[in-house]
Amino acid sequence: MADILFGVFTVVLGIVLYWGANRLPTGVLTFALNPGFFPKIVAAGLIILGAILAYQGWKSKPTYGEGKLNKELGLRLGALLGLVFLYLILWGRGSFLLNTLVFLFFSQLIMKYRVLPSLLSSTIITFLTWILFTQAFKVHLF
Amino acid sequence: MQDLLVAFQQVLQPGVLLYLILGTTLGLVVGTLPGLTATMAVAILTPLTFWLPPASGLGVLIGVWNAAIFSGGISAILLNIPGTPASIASTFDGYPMAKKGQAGLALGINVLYSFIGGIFGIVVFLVAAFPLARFALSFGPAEYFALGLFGLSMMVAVSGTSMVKGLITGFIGLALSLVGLDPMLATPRFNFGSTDLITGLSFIPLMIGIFGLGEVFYQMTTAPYQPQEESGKKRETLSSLGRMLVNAKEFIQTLPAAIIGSVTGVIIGAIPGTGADIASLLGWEFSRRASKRKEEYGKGSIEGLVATCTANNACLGGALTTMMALGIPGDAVTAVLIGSFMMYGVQPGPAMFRDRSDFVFTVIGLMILANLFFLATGFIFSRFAGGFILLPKPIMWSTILILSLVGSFSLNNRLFDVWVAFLGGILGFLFRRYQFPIGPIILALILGPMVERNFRTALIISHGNPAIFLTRPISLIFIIGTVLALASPLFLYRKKEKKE
Repeated sequence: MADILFGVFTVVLGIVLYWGANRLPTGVLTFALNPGFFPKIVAAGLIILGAILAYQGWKSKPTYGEGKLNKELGLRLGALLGLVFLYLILWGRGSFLLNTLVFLFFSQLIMKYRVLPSLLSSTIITFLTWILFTQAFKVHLF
Repeated sequence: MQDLLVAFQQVLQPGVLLYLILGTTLGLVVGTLPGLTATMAVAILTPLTFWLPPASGLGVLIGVWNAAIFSGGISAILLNIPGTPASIASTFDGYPMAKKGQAGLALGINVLYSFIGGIFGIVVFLVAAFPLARFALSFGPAEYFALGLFGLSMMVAVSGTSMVKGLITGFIGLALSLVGLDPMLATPRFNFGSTDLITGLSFIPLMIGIFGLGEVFYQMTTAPYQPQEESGKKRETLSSLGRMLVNAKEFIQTLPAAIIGSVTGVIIGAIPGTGADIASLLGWEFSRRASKRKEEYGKGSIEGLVATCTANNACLGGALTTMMALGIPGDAVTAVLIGSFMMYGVQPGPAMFRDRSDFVFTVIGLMILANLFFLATGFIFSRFAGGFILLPKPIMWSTILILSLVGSFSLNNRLFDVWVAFLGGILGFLFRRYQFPIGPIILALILGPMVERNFRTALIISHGNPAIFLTRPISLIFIIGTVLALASPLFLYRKKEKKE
C-alpha cells in the first residue's frame, strides 16, 4: 500500500512539475535555452518512475518490510516534531538560552530520559552551544 | 615538491595544527558513536568553520572525515554496531574476533590498517590527480554532461534493494535542484514568489536535515533509548581486549588483503556516487575471493578485517581525487566538502590545480597529518572508546538536534535555512522509514545543476543536435558507461530469475 501511495505521490509531483515548467517564460531562440526544458525531462522521469512504483505495489511486491510504526514511538516522534516546530516558531522571540533549555529538556523527556539528568544535560548543552556559536563563531543568536 | 613543502609549512603552523587535532578528536568521537556519520559531522561543522582561515577550517573538516571513518570500526568491533556506514563490513570479522577474546587485536588492526589505507589513498591522489586534472581540462560541455550523467547513473549502485526507489529519490533531488534561478537565463524558477527561494534551496541545511535530523527521528522509532540493555552490553565486550599489535607473521599473511583492500578502496572512492561503505564491502568480498582461507571470512578472519579497514580509508584518497580533479563528489562527504571549498572561494575542478595549487597541497598536507594523528592516538582512544559509547542516546540525539538547527541558521543567519533543515529531516526520516536510499538525492542535488547547464550548453553549440554527445570520444565513453550502469542490474536480475 505504501508503495502505491508513494508511486501516486511521485506521479502527481511529476505532473505538477511539468505544469509549472510549461508556465515558465519562453520567447527565446532555441528550445534548449528554454528554462522549462530540463524540468520537463525531470518531470517525465518522475511520472514514469512513480507509475512503475505504484504498479509494483499493486502487483503486491512490496520493497519495504518494517511494518507499521509502533504507536507509542510514533506518538513520541510526533511530539518531538511538534516541539521542533514550536521551537522554530518561537525562534527570535524571547531568549535563546531559555528557549533552547526548555526545548532540549522536553526533547529528552520525550526520548524517555529521566528528569534530573535531562535538566542537567540540557543546561550544559544549551550553554556550550551558546558559547560555541556566539563567542567562538560570532553568530548572533537572539 | 616545492609547493608541497610550502604547504607543509603552512599546515604545521600551531593554529592550524590545533584545529586539525580538534577535528581529528571530534572525528574519533563522532565515528565511535553509532548513528553519527562522517557526512553528518562534516555537514554540521561546515558552517562553524566558515569564520576560520581556510587551512584551519579545512583542518577541522579533514580531521573529522579521516578520523570518523577509522573510528567507526571501534563500535563495530566492540558492539557489532557500525559507528558509521563505512564500518558495516568491519562487523563481519571484527565482532567475531572480539567474541573470541581478540578485541584488542581487532582494534589494533583497525588503527594500523586504516592508516595504511589512508596513506595509500593519498599517494594515489598525488600520482593520479594531476594527470586526471590535465585530462579533464580538455572537457567541453558535452563531456561534462556525459560525466555528470555517469555520476548520476551511480544512483543505481547506491539504490540498495530497489532500483526504482533509488531513481525516485534521485529525481526528487533533481527536482529540488531546479528551484532558484535558471542557470542559463537567470529566470526565477519554482520559487513560488519567495525571495528566500530565489537563490535556490541551500544545499548544506538540506544535507544537515536529511543526515542529522533524519537520523535522530529514525533512530527514535527504530532503536529507542533502553538504558539497561546498553550498559550491560558494553561491560561484557570491554572485559577482555588482549594485545593490540599484529606480529610479523600476521603482517605478512595479511599483506595481500591489505593491497586488495587499498586498491579497491581507491577505485571505488574515485567513482562518483559511491563511498567508503561500498568500498569496504567490496574490499572484503574481493579479498575473500582471492584468499586461500575463504572459510574463515565472517568468523573472525584477520585478513577480512584488514581488507575492510584498508578499503574504507583508502576510499578517501580516491574520492578526493575525483572531487578535486573533476569537481565531482566521489561520495557524500566530498559532496559536502565541495560546499566548504566554495565557501573559501575555491571551485574544485581542473582549473583548481592550475590556479590554486597551494590549496591542493594544503589539503594533501592536512590529509597526511590527520592520518598520522589518528595513528598516534588511535590505540589509546580505542581502549577508552567504551566510555564514549556509554553516552546516553537522549543526550546524543538532543545534541545533534540543536547543533543541526543552530548550525543551519549560522550558515547565512537565516531562519529559512533552519526550516529547510527541519523539512530535510522529515524527508530523511520518511526515506529511511520506507527504505528509499538517501544517497541518490545527494548525488542529484550536487550533479543536477551541472548536468542541466552542460546539457543545454552542448545542445546550443550543436544547434539542438543530440549527436554531439555520441560523436565526441570521451562523451561517448561516459554515455556507454552510463548505459551499462543502468542496464547491468536489469541484466543480472533477469539472469537470476532464469536460474531460479
